[in-house]
Amino acid sequence: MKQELGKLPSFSKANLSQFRSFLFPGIIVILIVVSAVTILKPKLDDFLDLRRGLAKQKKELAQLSQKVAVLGGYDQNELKTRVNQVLKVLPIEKEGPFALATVRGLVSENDLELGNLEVEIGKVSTESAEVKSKKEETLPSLGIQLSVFGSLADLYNFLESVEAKAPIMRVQQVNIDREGTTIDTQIVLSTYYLVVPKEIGKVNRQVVPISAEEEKIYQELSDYQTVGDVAALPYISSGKENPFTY
Amino acid sequence: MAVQSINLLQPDELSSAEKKGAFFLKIGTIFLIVAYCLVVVAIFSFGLVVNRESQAIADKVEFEKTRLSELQEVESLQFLLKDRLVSLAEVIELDGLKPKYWLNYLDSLAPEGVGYDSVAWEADGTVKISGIAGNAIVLADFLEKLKQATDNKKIASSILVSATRQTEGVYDFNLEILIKEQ
Repeated sequence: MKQELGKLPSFSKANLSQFRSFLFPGIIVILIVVSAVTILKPKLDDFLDLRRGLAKQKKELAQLSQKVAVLGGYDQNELKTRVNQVLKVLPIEKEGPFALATVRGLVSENDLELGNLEVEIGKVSTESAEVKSKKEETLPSLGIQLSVFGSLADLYNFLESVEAKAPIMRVQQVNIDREGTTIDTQIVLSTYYLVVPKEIGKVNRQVVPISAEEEKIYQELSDYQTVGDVAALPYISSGKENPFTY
Repeated sequence: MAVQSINLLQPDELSSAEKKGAFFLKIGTIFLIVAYCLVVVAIFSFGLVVNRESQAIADKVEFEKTRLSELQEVESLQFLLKDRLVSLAEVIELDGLKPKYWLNYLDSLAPEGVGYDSVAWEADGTVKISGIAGNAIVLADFLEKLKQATDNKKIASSILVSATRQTEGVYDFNLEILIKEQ
């Protein structure tokens, strides 16, 4: 076959003109893909992240608004009064001497004669709460044992009044032995305390409103008063130098 | 011999199919550019809206946090009160067993001729009574009253643990009663 000299191959020219028409769209597509991958996609990811964060922010705002609304509904002075009353009923630490003084005061108020009076304080450190009643395992308590003599009516009045005074006490056991007209009674009481919760003052804590049941409980214990003559125990500023002398 | 010449200025003549193809290619490219621009505008508008909304919520959150910091004391008091009331609910049983009430009630069940020597009351509702009955009739009367109290669901159960007749005709008895929470 003869090759013609001085003439470009015809297929090459035709192809070039074909490619020229695809050149611009091709560049456009490449630019779109490159800009989409390098600019648009990261931006879109950022916006989507922001939107996801927005849902979280909205949730936080709703919680905060609810918290502010609930807290705004409380009267600070009323709350202080209530907290003081509740702390009087349920002290923050083991107040053995105070409980003993209360029991002693009530025994005398009800015309009973006091025999022995013991308190099982357990460890003096507040958080150790090892002495617990059988019934209430979660609320730390102190056991008080006492024996009293007197009339049955006075004893019953004592049993009633001891459960209606601050600090809170509950009768766990009563053993009554009649001796003629008088009675000899052994009583086991529990008095309770509760340390200040560790969560107090923490931020981002949900506020749970006081329920109707808890309001009833507060109304019940709002009448609990300390026994008159033990409201203020004498304060002794320091110990004695020699504890082995009386 | 025929002379063969080359016309270098002859324009490329495109066929109608090729012209059509080129037209659609141009239109397609323009459409692609417009569509891409619309997508870009949409994405950035979306971003703008989200940004503004986020900023507005962030401002509100900041405002609520400021208000909350003013209510911090109220929050602590409320938390303390709530915590104590929840704990006290375990102890303050509004309908719980009141020793005075139940001891009085058990006293009222004893008929003439029956006397208690000792009564042991426990917070779980168990009461142990030891006593003397003048004769079998009053003891039976007493047991009947306890039965009626059980039937009336005033007390949960009563068990006569022992009854011993003494030489003088009186009866020593021991009872175990489970009183019911009202």
